Amino acid sequence: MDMRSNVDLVDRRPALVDPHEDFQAITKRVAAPIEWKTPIGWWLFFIPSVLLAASYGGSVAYLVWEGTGIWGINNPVFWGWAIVNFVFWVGIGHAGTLISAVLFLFRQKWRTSINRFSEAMTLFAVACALSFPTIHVGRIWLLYWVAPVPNSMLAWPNFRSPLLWDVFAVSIYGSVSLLFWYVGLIPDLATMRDRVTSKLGKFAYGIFALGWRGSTRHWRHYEVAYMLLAGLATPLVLSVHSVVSFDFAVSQLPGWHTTIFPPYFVAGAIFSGFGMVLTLMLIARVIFKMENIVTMHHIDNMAKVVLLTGSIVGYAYAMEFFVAWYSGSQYELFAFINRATGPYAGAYWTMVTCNVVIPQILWFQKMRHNIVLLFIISIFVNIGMWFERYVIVITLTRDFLPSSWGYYSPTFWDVSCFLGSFGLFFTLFCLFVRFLPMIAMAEVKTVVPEADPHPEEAATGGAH
Amino acid sequence: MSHTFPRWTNKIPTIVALAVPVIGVGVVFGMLYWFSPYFTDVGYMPTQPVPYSHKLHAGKLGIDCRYCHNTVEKAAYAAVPPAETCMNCHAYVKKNSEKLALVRQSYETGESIPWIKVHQLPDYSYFAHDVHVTAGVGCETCHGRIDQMEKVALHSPLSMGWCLRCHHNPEPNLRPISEITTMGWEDSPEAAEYDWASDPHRIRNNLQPPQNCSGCHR
Amino acid sequence: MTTENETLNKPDIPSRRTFLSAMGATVASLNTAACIRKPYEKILPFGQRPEDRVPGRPEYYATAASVGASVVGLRVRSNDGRPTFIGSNKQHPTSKGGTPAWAQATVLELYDPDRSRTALMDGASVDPAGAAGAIRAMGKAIRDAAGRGLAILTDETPSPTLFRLMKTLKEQFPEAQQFRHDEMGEANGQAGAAMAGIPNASFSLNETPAVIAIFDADPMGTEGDTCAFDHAFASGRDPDAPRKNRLYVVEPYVSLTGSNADHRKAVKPSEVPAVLAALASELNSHGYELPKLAGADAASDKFVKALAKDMAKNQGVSMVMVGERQPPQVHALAHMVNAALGAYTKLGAWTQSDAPEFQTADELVAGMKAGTFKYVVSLSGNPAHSIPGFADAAEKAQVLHLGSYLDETARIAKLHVPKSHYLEAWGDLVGRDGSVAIQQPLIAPLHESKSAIEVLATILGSKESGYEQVRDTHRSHVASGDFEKSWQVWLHDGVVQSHPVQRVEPAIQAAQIEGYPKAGSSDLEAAFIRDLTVLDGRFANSPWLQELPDPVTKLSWDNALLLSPDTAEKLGLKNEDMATVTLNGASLDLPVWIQPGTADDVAVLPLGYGREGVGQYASSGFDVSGLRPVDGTWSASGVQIKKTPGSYRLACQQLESDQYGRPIVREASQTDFTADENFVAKFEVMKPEHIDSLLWEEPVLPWAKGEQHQWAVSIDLNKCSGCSACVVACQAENNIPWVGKSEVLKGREMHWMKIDRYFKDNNGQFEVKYQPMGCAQCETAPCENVCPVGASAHSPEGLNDMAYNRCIGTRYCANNCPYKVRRFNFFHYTVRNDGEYGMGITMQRNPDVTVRYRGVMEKCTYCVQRIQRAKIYQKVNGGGDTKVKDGAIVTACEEACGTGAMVFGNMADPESRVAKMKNNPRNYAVLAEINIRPRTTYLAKLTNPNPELAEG
Repeated sequence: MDMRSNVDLVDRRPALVDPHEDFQAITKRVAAPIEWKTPIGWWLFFIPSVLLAASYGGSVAYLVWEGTGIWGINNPVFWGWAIVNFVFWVGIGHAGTLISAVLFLFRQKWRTSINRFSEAMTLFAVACALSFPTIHVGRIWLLYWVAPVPNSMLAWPNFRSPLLWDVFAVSIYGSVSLLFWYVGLIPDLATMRDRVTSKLGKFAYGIFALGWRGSTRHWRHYEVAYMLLAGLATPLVLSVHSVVSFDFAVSQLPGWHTTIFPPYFVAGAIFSGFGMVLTLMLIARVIFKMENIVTMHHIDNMAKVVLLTGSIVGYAYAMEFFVAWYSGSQYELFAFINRATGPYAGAYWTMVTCNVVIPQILWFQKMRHNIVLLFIISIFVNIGMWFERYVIVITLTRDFLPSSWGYYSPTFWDVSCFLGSFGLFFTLFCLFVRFLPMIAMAEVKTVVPEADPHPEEAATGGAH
Repeated sequence: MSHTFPRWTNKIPTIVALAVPVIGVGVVFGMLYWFSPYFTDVGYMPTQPVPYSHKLHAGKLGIDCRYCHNTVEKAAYAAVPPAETCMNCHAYVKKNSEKLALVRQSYETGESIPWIKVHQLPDYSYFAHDVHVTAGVGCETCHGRIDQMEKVALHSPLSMGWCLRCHHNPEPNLRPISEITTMGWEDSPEAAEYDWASDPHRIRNNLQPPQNCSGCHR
Repeated sequence: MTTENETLNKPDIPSRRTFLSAMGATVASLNTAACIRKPYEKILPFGQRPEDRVPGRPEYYATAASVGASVVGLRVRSNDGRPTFIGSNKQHPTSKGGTPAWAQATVLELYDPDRSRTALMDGASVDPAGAAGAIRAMGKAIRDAAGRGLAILTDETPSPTLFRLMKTLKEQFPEAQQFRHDEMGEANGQAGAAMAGIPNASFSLNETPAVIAIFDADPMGTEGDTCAFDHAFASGRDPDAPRKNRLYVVEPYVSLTGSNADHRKAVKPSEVPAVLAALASELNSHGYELPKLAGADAASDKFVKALAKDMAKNQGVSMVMVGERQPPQVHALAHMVNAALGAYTKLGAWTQSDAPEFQTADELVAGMKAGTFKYVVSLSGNPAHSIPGFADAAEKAQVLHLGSYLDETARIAKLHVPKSHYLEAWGDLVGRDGSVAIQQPLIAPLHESKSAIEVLATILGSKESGYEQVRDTHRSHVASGDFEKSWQVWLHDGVVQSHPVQRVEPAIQAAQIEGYPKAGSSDLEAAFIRDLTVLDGRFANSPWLQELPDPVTKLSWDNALLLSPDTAEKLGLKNEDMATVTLNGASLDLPVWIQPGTADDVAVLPLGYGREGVGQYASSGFDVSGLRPVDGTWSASGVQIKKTPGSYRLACQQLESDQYGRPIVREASQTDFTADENFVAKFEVMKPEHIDSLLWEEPVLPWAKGEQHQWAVSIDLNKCSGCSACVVACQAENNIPWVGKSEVLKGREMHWMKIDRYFKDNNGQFEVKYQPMGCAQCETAPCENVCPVGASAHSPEGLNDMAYNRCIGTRYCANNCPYKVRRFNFFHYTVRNDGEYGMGITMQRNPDVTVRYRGVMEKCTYCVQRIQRAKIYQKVNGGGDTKVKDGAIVTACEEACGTGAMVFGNMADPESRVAKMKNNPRNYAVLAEINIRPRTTYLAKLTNPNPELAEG
């Protein structure tokens, strides 16, 4: 009897996509944005983005010409916004692979509607992220020295340096994410190849569809490859931001040299990643009329993840203080008290408010289902996570010897580089939504009732 | 799927097949240049303002290197000699030779002869002749058979790796102090059985060729 | 482009030809590649190489420099004919192997592009011949007029040759008159000495007094033989010194000396005489025969009582000093006190100066106004600026101006002649103790310049060669036979051994003093001070000294109105506010800087800044000389200060002055030290055994075995006065660029070593602590393992090598440096400086040190270029022994330091000085608790407070 009610419970779970959507409807819906004649709205997004991206290029050119002195960095704050932005973007670049790989392995079917989208976001974020460590070095033209290639100097990079680990970690993460994303795209590319009418379109999709014909054989290989890549990508999700956190944790500076950093950074990264996915998704699903595919159910789940990771981050903040006190090191303790009360306390409390306090609203389902509110919260999450990195870097202002303490303030060029990177990000994104299926149709189709071999059993709740 | 790809695309495999070897060859030659002594200019042999022949002076006449490069044992630079040194002989020998006009002029006016530098290190690397010479590294080891050069040409790449190889293991390049300026000693039989460690005439036997940065970069 | 052609002209060797044919298409790229790789350079040998000249080997020459009457003996390095570094002459008796910061900077001054280059007649430039002719003509006219209407104006440069020439002048032309004016001079001091009955004599301190009471003087910073005083003072700070000393300072502002005081009393300038008078009468009650002056009420003053008691206790070895800023009467009283205490007989010696009689500057101006003088020959300085009224009176006379810059005087002069730098001309200098140093030039004059000796000789119609004149002066001392021989010895040693010294026994009358200044007024007073870096402004055009932070305020590139916290609060002023200072009708707007320890109701105004039309650097800051009373006194009452709208950013190089209770500068009183020798351990944040008991087995670092040299530095905080000479020396030796005010404001100064200074409120008493801080060459250096390209790596000798040419500029090392002593080239500073400075800066550069590029991290490596040079020399000439002897390597900072506060050496050799210092119980490492094992360690500071005053 109560067994029955259980089953009822199961049944009452909302469908992942609107049950009225059949295969063809989904295909139509997803392909629509590509087949439309370019909407004005798209241009309204695209043109400013391109201009911003161009300004980024300009700023970088001037930076290389004039020297890193154009930024606000100084002694003692040798790392400024460049590194803040780097960590910020890498963090954002987390959700994608997490959603696609980890949730895939955990058989979280609800991921299907959003994974393509968030993977794309991951790639673009990582692209932005990589640009910063590259431009922030003093002699960019010698950057190739970090690559272990034989040379007439018999000199090798220093493998003990966290920065070198970064180079490998982030680039591997980037390439695996790209591969994973691309493999997932293949069936849909084939679909597009067969739908589009323009010669060029056919040609381009055709090249990248790798001659996919959807035969069972293709599907089997596809499934295997996708599964393997998922397995490969999952550890990377955890490793990449752990390694990024080593940039700070491996140093011996008060406020940086702490063992909590790796988990705290990963959680923060997922947090910020989901924040950004929400931000973009909430806009996109409206603009491209995907409400039936990206349902409240998905959004609700993402909101829950945001709440969870946000709270983990909050715990980390508290733990940092405890450890600083418990360590008995006056330098550690001072560093943290200084964060909360020192000249940059404003940044610290902004961070806490945005990352810990505001997300608590999401305990309430009503709030989780309020799209506008959710959008605002996601923006706050993005801001908060940027400030988290800023707070960490700004810890440099006051370390061991008071004689060397200083202040830091960004210059015009810090700001232009930061905003410029958003230009790059959105430019890539606009191109993505315009020319590639932003939702994995093939995968979504697997979760619609039509895909169920025994729909009537599903209806009566018979065991699968 | 012929309707997907235009006909010409059938050529793509052929093009690729042809392109790959070409690119490959390009890479090989690129490596040959960039990763080889060509890049470090081995063989660079400029025409000097005065047609001075080491082949004649060092080789045929057998003048010791140190007669002209007399600071080699006491300073970092094995200084190019002042015109005065040339005039020691050429005040009497070939005193009116056309080729020596510049030398005589320099001697009288004190105005330098603009020799073109053949062996050139970057400004951030500091090399000292004296310490190498007194350690028993011969002129020949780095400069080659000067006694056979009509015009002096660059014999060694002078790259960091080239320096380090010897600093890692100097033994093969050591010779008796008495043979420092001897040309062709390396190929001589006594070079084969020379044991530097047991040489009583050496100035010092505890060689510690620096392998750390500040050994050469300051 | 020539480079490219040369590459093209390269004859093809066969292999090359085949190669080119193989990739003919890329010939162009090949050439460009070659171009990029190396510029094809020329070798330009001598036509006839001078004897013993070995290209590339530095040479050292002894010479000497002076400011006012203070002489510094120097050993200057010349690289291929270019003076590049000012070393100290350890044999020189008055400078005792020390060099002040200004002396270190003179090597740059030599190449200053703003120096005047050609002679000017009525403002139009004339060729050297013309100039010489003009001087001769003037000389002839003067001689024909038997010297009538000639006024010679000079500064206090104590040159025997100059003195001799002036005396000859006076003998031959009695009507010629000689005047002396020097902003760095001792007019008041000499007047005071004259009052006390010891005219025209000078006192030189040979050993440290046990009690030193300073009254508004700065013998460590800007007055007298600073090196000699530092040396004497430092010798009395050691716990095992035969005579320990205690320093009392009474002053209106925080002078360098005051910042080193054991007890300090901040009073207004006008109250200083009263304190001395009080001391005198207090000593009188201790039984010394000293006048009880009116208004001297010691009874109230605990400080004076304790001081007097202390002095009485140390009969004969205690001494008072009064500064130039106080009127002659106060100096006279000081002489009486010292005479009564018997200081002059035990602690040093008086020497009769053989300087001729001089008249004062205002007499000159009066004469000029009256039209007495047809010719005014100004041999030094810039009288039009420094002597009130000179400029107006000048049109009545023909002024011959010998000067280094086209300054105010040059503009009004009939004839301006560029003055030779001391490194360009022959001269000689006699110290306060009568020792004479030969001023030997290292380079021929860069411009068409003449020295004072040459000009005076020309006017006299005597031999025009300074060399001959100097030799003539000293010929007399030795039998003519051995003159040449002894001359060579003098040049080598830098000191004229056989020079006769006239000692005098001071016969000081304990008479009453006429017009002894009365106790101060109640209102706001101005105190004009000499700046600690640019002095009276004569070095204001040196970017090194402009960027060198003031040891006390840490301000650079500017001066400011210094106020005590309370006074500032009372006037409603805070740091960097603009304030209008009004005094004697003149007024000036300048920024405010609050300096704790300044006496209340005192407006401290540092001189020497804001000099327009002298050079590109001298104009920075604010020229306060306009506010100064016309009689040239150093302090004045009746100042009005009011806040004006607007603010002005001051480039302070240390923003925090508190140690936040961290054990950075460790100190104890002498008594506490004797009670507990290992007091430094009490400060340890972490016990050594805790640091060692790590999770893993601590690896035995290869360099810890110590079969090689193990370089290390030990710094004795007792001996460091904070004078900052080492900072400039480091800059000169290591081609360190200056960055300019705007960059300093961003916190980007490049000094490899800095002097950290901390303030301390020792229950009510303001104290200053200094700590030289440079790269400590940590054995487990945090900077090394974080560099992705390994540009910073450890040497087997314990150096934290920095390969500039490997650095790609991630700046991670600097973040991770706990001392923050790494410096980054945010811009291409060296090229910028080349632009500002022309060839000069490249002429000064040390060829043994790489000039760093933009985007490269740099730092101190214990002058590794000197280490390598010494090691190579030892390898080549050591006959098999490759161990460098202790003291054979002297780092630039160590060389500049006269007190021996800094010692570099091989700590693997137990006999080395540094190893011994490391075994000193006072030895400690800053931040030892983070287990970085710095090779630079410190000896804790010992103060010597008077128990009676200790509890404040």
